[in-house]
Amino acid sequence: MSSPVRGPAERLGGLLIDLGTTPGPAARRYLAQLRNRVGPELPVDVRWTGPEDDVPANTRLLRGGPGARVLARAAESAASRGHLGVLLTPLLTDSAVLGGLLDAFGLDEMVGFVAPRFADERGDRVWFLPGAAPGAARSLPRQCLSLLPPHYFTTERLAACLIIRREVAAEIAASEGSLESLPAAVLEATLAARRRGHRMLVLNHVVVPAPDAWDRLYPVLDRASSDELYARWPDANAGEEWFDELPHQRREVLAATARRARPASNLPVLLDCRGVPAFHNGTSEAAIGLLDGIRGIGPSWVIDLAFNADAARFHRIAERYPEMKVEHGIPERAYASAVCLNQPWHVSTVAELHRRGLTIGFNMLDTIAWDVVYLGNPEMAKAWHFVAAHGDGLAYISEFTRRRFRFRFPLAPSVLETVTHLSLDVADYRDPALADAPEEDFLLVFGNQYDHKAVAPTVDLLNRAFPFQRIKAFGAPDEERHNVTVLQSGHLSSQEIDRLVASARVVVFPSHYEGFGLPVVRSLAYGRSVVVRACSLWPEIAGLMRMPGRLVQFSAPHELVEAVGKLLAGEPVDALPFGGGLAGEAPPPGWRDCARRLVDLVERMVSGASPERWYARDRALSLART
Amino acid sequence: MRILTLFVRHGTSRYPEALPELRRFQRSQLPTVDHHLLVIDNGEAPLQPESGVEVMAGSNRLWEFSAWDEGLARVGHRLWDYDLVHLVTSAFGTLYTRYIDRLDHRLLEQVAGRGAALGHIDRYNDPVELLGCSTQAWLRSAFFYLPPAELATLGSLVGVPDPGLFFSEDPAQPFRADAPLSGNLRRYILDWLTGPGTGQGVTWHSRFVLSRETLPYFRAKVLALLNEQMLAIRLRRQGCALVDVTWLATRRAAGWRANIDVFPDWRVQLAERDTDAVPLPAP
Repeated sequence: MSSPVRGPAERLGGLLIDLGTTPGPAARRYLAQLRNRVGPELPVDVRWTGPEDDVPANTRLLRGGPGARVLARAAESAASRGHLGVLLTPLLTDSAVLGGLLDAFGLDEMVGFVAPRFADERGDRVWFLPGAAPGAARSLPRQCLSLLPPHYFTTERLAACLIIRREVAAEIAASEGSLESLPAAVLEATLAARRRGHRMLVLNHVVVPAPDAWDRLYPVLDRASSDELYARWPDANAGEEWFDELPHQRREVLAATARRARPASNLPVLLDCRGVPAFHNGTSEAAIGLLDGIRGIGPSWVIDLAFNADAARFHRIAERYPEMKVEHGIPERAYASAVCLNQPWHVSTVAELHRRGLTIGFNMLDTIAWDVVYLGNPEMAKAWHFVAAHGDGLAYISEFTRRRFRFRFPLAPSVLETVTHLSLDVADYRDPALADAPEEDFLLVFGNQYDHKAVAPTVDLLNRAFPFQRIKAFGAPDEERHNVTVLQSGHLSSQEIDRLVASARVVVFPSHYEGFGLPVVRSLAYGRSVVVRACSLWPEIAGLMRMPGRLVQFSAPHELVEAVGKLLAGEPVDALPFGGGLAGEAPPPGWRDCARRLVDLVERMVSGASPERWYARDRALSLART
Repeated sequence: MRILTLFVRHGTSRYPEALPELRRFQRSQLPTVDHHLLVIDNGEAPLQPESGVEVMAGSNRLWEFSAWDEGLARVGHRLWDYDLVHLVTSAFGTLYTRYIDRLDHRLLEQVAGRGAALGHIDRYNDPVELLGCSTQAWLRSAFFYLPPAELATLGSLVGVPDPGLFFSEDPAQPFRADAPLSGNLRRYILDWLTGPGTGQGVTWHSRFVLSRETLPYFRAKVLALLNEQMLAIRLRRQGCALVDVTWLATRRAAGWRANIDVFPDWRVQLAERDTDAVPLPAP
């Protein structure tokens, strides 16, 4: 942010410093250093118990009377020239910081108070604001500062450095406060001003490094002052309670995980795999393939995996990924990114990830459930609209899926996208033990009972067209037909399925609608001829692979019959060309390549973590709850 | 250690040896560092491919400052792959350069991942006021290092808003009467660009006579100077310490035992240099 130009009225009219009981030599040294930093012209008032002779010539000593009176005197003289700065401890701030704070008054004329953030000068960490920060964390790495919005409105909080707007200072000068403690008098001034509409702004990118402990930078009133103040201002707590409900603290805890530079650059990332079932299907194969790829790449992440317990056991996740922490359910920790390896089925899943991740992403496998309606539900539609509007990143397993999703769920411009694809490497699909399996004389029809898979009408058609051809079919109705064997995929091991694929003479995959078509890729890897219903998905993935099999499309039933007939007869067919989308002799993408795209998406999500997007998502989820 | 170097030049006819010299510096003084070099060329001539160098065109809108912004936009989120970003111009070998000889990776280690910017601290003899801020010292912008996080917080290296705030049409009085510059800063600038320097015994190598013809160049040069000084102000504002190379090398020569926890005020640093120290009133 470049610096706006302040008019003469937005200058600092004076600086009041509470030196308390600072010993004389330290006070003199401090005032000399401060003068160097704030320039020779700024009028400085100090409240101090030390001797008057020790105060530099260009500094006014204010003593005697309660803190409220001291504040009023400083305010009176400052307001005649400009705004009033207050340092409640001898902080070594400088004119760059004060100038940055003053600039904020130009943002909104009702801003009454402006405060900076404070950093521990030894640890390069920025202190959290007072309030209900979750957990014991009290600071975040300053490397995460860029992830914070430029400012927060807060309620009335004491801070060791504050600038009071000139108009508010003028009101203070005219008031007759009696509080003994100067911090209490300042807090009372903020309460009074707030009731007139003057709010406090904290500037996150204006930072004062200080050696002081947190409780000196955010002073807490002594009991007597506090009791007196709260007796006068019954709504004093209301502001605090309100602020505690604000999301800033929650987000800062998340932002603190997203340190992107030395010394510790390992990002904590949650991969939500709770959509993986305790059996083999496309979802589990895609998720485990991507996890294998991520493990192979070894990104600078600390990865937690969220699995349902039965699925984790079935897929032996703990043994497979010993370097990742496997959680049964979703852990209550903060992550730089929380990514669901499948599409969300309910907004509550989005909320769960949002609560844990500074950024959230989803891997969209397909949009079938929404389109066919009967496999989905209204909550799923809300969730998909929600992530299209409020997610940080979306991955798709094909360009085909990306196009479907974007057309149905208009994407906010800020949502990052990637098409990961799934592996198209022969080696990832072919069991070497079955590579030379002898071809047998049967057609294999792949699918399941869902209507879009079109297994039943396809088996009917093929049965009528080729009444003497043996047909084995996954997902066909269990009807008595002399040449048709009905298979239940859930009853076969993956090895048995592979054996069927490897030995089929022709594989027919009649589905109307797929996100990727893993059985097609597997069949091609075994060198099979595969007949699929024409769809832009197939040229897309054919262009990215080099398979020993052939991929033939059909549109109408007679084309299916014709294609199968030619393949059974060993006649030439029009197969889709392979590898057209690959550069030169580049190998097809394997799981590592797919995972690399996902990793890159997450890295971009974290690097570009936008406060605006997070707050918008938080508000939207809050509204959804109500 | 990985360093991204954003090298800004205006064609290759001026300072033709700057890029080879920079690469010699990288090889000889930072041999263990993994360097990535991006050249941003603000010149008008079409870019020519250069072997082993990534070159992009810069707009020259605000000289090196806009060029660095444009380079960072090109790098995008890959910025976070680096420990430090080296911001350098083709003029880095002019004026005082002894500090460059003191640099090595151990010095850079002291600022990587910290709230600190490392370079050569220059100063005026007395405080000046720019855009309402009192300031006296800055980091020479021809050659300095910043951690990526500080760049990300900064947002843009351009810190001076509307240039129209500063200049008149009169070469005899080139600054507007109400320009947000103190009187002594105006004098320092004029003396540096067109006169005897700023009272520190050094004169600028490219002084010129201010006239109606040279007024556009004067404005552009002044904006670069003001952006350089605003950069120091904005870094201090976000809590980023300015660290002087010579001071840090002095501390290293004295045998530091551990990382330096707190970088002292620039006055202390300049006074403690083992060469070219600047004795200033004790802060």
